[in-house]
Amino acid sequence: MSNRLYSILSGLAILVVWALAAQIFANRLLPGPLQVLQFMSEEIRSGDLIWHLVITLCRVAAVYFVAMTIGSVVGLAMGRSRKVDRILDPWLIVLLNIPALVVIILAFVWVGLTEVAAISAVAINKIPNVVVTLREGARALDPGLDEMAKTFRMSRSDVLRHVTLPQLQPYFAAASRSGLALIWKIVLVVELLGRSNGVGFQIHLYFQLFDVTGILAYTIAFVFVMLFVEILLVQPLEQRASRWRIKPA
Amino acid sequence: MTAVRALELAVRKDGFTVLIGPSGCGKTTILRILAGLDEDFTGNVPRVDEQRIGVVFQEPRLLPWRIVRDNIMLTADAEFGNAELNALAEELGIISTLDRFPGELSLGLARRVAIARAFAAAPDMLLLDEPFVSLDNPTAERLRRLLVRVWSARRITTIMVTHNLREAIQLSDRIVVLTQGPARVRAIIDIPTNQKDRNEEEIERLHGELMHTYPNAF
Repeated sequence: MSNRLYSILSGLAILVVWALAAQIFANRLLPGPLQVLQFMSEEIRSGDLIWHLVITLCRVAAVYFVAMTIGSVVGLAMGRSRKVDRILDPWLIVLLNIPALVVIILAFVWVGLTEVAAISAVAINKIPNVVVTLREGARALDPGLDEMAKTFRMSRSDVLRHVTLPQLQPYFAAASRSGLALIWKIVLVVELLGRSNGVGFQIHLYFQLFDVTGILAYTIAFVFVMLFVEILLVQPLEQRASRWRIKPA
Repeated sequence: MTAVRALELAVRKDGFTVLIGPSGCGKTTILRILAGLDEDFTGNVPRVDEQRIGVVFQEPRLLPWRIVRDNIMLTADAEFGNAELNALAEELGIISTLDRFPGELSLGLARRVAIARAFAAAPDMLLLDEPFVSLDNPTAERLRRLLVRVWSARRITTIMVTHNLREAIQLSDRIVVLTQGPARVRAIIDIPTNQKDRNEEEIERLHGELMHTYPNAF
């Protein structure tokens, strides 16, 4: 039996355990998989689910873009220059150790319950991780290739495109991967605390109604969307970028 | 630390000069200064920004994420097109590797690609830093012959660093013997015959002569 089959069986086992537990307890607060699926399809037909999913996805994308851009620039600067590293390191340590929840609350208190506050709050939570990863990447750049590019007079844009970025690619990938996972979870919290739409807002709503079916339906739907993003977008891009990693002949 | 002091180098234009000396005598430092990679020195060195330079480093230093073809063409001269690439690759025996990634090549083949890249840049000055080190003897020998052939067809001013006297005699028309570091010039030996026409016998004879005249120099 192949290992893949084990994974599939194990995944099915989760569903079976869930369904059995729902049968045994027969409680409104523990709906079975079928009930959740039914609720999901109703919400899809009414358009609510899609609407809130799209809103949340947009926020995730916005935060991802902002955090990756700022985090990369700062991380690369810190990795390339000891001075910049020394100057910014205390900031980094402070940011890395502030709980996400505190940043979110302070952003809403100081900026107001706005989209800007929501997106920056999540970005501030994510940026330190990107900085740390890309700083590692910048430190690992091969000086030999830099010298090669210098002696052969490669233009700045060529160096960036053919020498520097390919070396940083694994670090971008690592930051993206851990980033997406972190961002969407924090985005839900932000929506729960201070937005009037999005998956987090819906979960909050169903929490107040004590409607576990709704909570599970939205959560599962969003987890699946993020899995699809991973499988359809992140993995193929990574594979394409690492084509050259072939074992020596 | 001073690697090189009071050094005056006479290099032949369109010639093949080899710097030879004991390891750690500062040969590589001289090459790095010429390549514009080491700027911590005083003295007169031909301004790097006024001339094109091609370098073959000790390690091939190819871009692992670009195929061989792109590795050569990225830094090639504007006049160096596909026809020239094919001709050069044919000469160096790497035509079948052009569409492969460097990670798929043996060290010997990767070195050939590095040599191709340096020639493709159509440099005014070619710098070679022990380009045959850590190759097995037959492979190194094959590569030296290839280098003589490719170089003879183009006659680019070349400076090579090595600690292998036989290699120096085989490839160069001028050998500059350096002292133990900080490097100074100990002797300059010109070899009048054409590299392509040098035979085993002549190389052996010169090798014996030089070993006798400059004991402990290599």
